[in-house]
Amino acid sequence: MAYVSKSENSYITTSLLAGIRADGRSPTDYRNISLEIGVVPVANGSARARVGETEVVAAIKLEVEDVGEGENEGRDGGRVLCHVSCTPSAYPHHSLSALDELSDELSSLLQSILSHTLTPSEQLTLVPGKKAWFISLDALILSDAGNAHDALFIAARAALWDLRIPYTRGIEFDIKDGEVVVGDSEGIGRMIGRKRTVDFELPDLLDDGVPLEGRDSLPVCISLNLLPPTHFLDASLQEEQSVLSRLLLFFSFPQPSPTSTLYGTRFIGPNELPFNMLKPLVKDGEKYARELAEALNKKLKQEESQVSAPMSAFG
Amino acid sequence: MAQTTDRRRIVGPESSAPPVFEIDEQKRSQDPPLPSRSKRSPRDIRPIFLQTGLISQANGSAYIETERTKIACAVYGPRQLKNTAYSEKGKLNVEVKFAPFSCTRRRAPMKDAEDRPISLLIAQSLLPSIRLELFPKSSIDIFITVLENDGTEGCVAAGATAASAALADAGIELIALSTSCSASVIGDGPEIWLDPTEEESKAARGTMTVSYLPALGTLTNVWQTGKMSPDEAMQCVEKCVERCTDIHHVVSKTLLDSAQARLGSNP
Amino acid sequence: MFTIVSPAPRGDDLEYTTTRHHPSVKDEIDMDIEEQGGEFGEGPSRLASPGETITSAQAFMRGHGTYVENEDLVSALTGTIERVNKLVSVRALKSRYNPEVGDLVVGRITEVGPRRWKVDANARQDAVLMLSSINLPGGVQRRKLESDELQMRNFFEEGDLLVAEVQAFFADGAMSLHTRSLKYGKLRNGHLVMVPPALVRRLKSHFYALPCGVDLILGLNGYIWVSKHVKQSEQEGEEGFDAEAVYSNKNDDIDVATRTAIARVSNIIRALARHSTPLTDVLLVEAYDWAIDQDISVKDLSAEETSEAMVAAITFRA
Repeated sequence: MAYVSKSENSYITTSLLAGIRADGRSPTDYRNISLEIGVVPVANGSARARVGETEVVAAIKLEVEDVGEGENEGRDGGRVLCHVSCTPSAYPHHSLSALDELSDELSSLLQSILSHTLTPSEQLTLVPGKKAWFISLDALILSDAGNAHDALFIAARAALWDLRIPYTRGIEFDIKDGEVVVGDSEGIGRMIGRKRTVDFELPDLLDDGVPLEGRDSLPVCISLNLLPPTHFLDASLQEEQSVLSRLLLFFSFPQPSPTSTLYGTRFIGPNELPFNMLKPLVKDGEKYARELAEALNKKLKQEESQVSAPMSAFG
Repeated sequence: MAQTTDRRRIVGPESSAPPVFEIDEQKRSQDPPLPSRSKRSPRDIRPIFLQTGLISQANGSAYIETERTKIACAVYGPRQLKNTAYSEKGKLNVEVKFAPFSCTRRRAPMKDAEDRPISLLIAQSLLPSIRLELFPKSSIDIFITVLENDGTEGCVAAGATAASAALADAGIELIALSTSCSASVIGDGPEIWLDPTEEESKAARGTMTVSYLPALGTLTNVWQTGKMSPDEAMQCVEKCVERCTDIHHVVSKTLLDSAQARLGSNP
Repeated sequence: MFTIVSPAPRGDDLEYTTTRHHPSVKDEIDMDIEEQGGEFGEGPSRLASPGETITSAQAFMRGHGTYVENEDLVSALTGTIERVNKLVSVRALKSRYNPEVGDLVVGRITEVGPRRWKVDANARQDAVLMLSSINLPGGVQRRKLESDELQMRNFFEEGDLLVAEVQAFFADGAMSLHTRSLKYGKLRNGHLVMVPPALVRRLKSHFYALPCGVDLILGLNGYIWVSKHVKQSEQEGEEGFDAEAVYSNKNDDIDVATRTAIARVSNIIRALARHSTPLTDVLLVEAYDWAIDQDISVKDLSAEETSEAMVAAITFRA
């Protein structure tokens, strides 16, 4: 279903080349981002993000699994599985098979980026060689008014920020004088090398758990919509239909160093990109990503320090 | 129940516990040893064998071999689009299939989750190079069969190069030939190794696959996974782009040779 | 560059007392309801929800949005009760556009078929634009040729926007449109804004020229076209009706000031729509002047506080 006519397309692109957008934003302005964590109390971590009218909800469930060799078995350092569902309410004109395809694309994107950033992590090992955590992150795109990629990653990142891993303690069995003694091994999953740990226990059932290590440096996604010689951010639905070429960059900023890590790039679109434009785009993308990451971190810290629970998450 | 003794069995002592095994330290050592490149230098790619026209019933076809990656590609089109919706430009449709014997572990013959991302990457590599505006209401179908798989990046790069050759073989108008090359960042060096094998890419910190139109100097796809700094990423892109130009010579030579052979046989 | 906020807490901060009207429009509407107090409750507008009994069916006739059950008139919609003498009807607060013959609509082509186009006009069904209902190039009286049927995409393609009038209805309720006037036809040089159809009232003219160099077409189906001003003289070019000009997709050169004005007007329309304010040209001119006086940038117009202030300022001007 076509959403823009040729003359609208031409109007939007010529306006963008002059730096004017339909709603008065500048080319590097994002629409208002609204972020809420802890929206799904029954999940181990959850968040809801809105960029303009685009809305994504992400939630994480933790499971313990046995370490093994197969693809669906656990491994030391933890395992992550991400899935994104594009709801029919967000894409009313897509057929079911087109929805499935879109969901698969986004799932494999989220999976490939997050599996490299989250695993392997010592925090996710419970009993070395035997048991490890399995993080299952599911995201729902509730409505898409443009720029679903960035909103998806903002929600996933915030859900991972909100994630609490239950505090576990390793226990070991020992036989002394013919008697079985159950003793405590110290520390949580940091027991690679402790020879006797065979199981774990939850010392405090009411404890929420500890946050994910390195959550400050989770990756952000910046979509640069390419309209040579310029680019712009956070496209609305009509802008996305008029300017089809995009470069997605996934940056992470490990604190406190000033360097950045690139966790992925994706190129989408029917137009080619002159080689000499790539470097400046990546540099600009890094700059935007750094600002976004800082703004997100600040907001998330603020959210956490407020102890109030939302009255009704979906009211 | 504890009082009755079971006379049919020999029972172990009551205070017994399962044995505790010592965890083998060696098995869980941190990283596997880094592979070494003995036969070629980090800057070399594996030699390419490319031939077009092997699948006679397709409009165009190509077969590519780079050491342990073997891919056959068939192009059908332009042909009528099946659905009735009108589209002003042609549609490009890429389907990748892995033969069950192509990987170390047998793959089921049906389509699975890994095929689709690879199809999308190869389609993205080719899309800007095809003049789709000349084929309204038509579709170009590209079927890629991986006969032997030596790493996903190798498949994407070789598959995209073969597909571009197959499109040219089919007589479909292209603005330029698209060639692809991949690179991996190994260790903390950083050492950049071009055209990684499966073993090398598993051991690598991050990989970068680039699709380039050497005739025009433009990129059609930049796909990076893993962990690298932006500078390392740019270095990878630059190295890949140089190699893509070399691969372009191979592809165009193959096309000209096969055209020559056809002309020679039809006087 | 990035503003990150917490979502507004859901609660009782929405007031459903009355819809806001421009003072001149308000008087007309309130007249017929105010006459009858008593049975219909206190205020000028009484709300009903589906299944709510309105009154007894013996004294009154049922109109749209109501049905009769056991001698009672029951509402079938959530909306305001309207009464004209003995006819009681319920008008929904928000519903799909209900077309009438003679309405002006802005639509988008969804399909090209044999001798007709299907147009999405935000109604229950796609409207139909017959090939015989458009102006063919070469003169208003030109006859349809075979080659026209084969080249329909030269006139309208999928995705094109057009302004047309409802000519008639098909048996199944689909609208039949026509663009047989030089004012109607393909739209260019502008930008589409979508608002709920209920906010656009049936008025004498739907083509407005705002003083800031912006033209407006208020489609009754809620689609509003905001574009660069076209001079009156250029609009009505009778002889030698030029196909290249009318069915072309090429925009004119539009300068930055006009583009900014178009963006500003679009934001004003969206802000007014968010506050459920019925749209008229007078209102829009006032809002635009207010925005210029207050020296608000285009972007800020979409912010909550600014739009609320604007709506408050203009709707209470007597």
